[in-house]
Amino acid sequence: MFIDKLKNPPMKSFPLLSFLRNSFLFLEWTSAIFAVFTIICSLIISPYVLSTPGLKFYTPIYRLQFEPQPSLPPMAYHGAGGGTVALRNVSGTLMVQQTANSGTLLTFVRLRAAYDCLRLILACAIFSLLRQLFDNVKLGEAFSLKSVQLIRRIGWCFAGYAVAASLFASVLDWMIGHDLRQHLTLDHLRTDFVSADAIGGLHFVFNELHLTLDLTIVGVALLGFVLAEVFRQGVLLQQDHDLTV
Amino acid sequence: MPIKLNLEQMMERRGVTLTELARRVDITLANLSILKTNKARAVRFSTLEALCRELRCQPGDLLEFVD
Repeated sequence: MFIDKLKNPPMKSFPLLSFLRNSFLFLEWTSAIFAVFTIICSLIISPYVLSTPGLKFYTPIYRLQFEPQPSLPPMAYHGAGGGTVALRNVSGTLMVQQTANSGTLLTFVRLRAAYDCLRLILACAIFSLLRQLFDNVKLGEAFSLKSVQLIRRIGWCFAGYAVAASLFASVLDWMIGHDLRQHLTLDHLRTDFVSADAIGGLHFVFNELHLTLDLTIVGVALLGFVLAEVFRQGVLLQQDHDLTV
Repeated sequence: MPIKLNLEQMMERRGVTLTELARRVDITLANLSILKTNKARAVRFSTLEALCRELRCQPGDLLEFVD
């Protein structure tokens, strides 16, 4: 009897399915709430926070390459808002400390918030699609046209995220670099500024805009499309099975 | 589908209703209806055997190739 249950498990009673489905529901709502919170913070709270006297804001800038020099002295420039930016070379990583509120900084913070919001909204969409997929599986309709559509949409969400993340990151890079380059000349610098959001992947350059497409996310998107095709074949087999008497 | 199942004619000849035949052959009424309306894509040998037994006929009496 145990062997029979193993061969033909009752799908509806799988506790793991219910747990996964409820987990995705929880993550869906959490992402949505965080997205709303991010919007509120960026639009309403951040202007007040940024106008706080003595505020220090660190922007890590990675992948800066310098000519071989024993050390670089700390450099400073006076920003447009009257504050001071100090650059300190720490093992090839420069931390930009901005101590004043400038219009660029607020725009940067809001753009960054929009970027985080987009990620949260996409995460919410993906978790919602996964929840619906597991609802289908619980009903015993794993191989159905609806499941194929859901998996394909998950693939598109990841593809959209890869492109949107790349665009946002490049705009943020450009903003930081443009603002700093207006006030600063760094000696012995081989490459332009690249922000921490730029990660390994396919790299494109359009004038001053650096676009980096994360291959991991693109790979996951492609996996989604491949899985959709597998499920589509499954639907055909399921139809054959249903019409076999 | 070029293969046709002459289930309706055989049922009329033997005077068996769809419900009665479904009960005797031990398949659902829905599945038997699929067979009767020639919407099935495949038939198991076990089902064909049960139909031939209950309708007292040969497989060739039920199955027909239509070009």
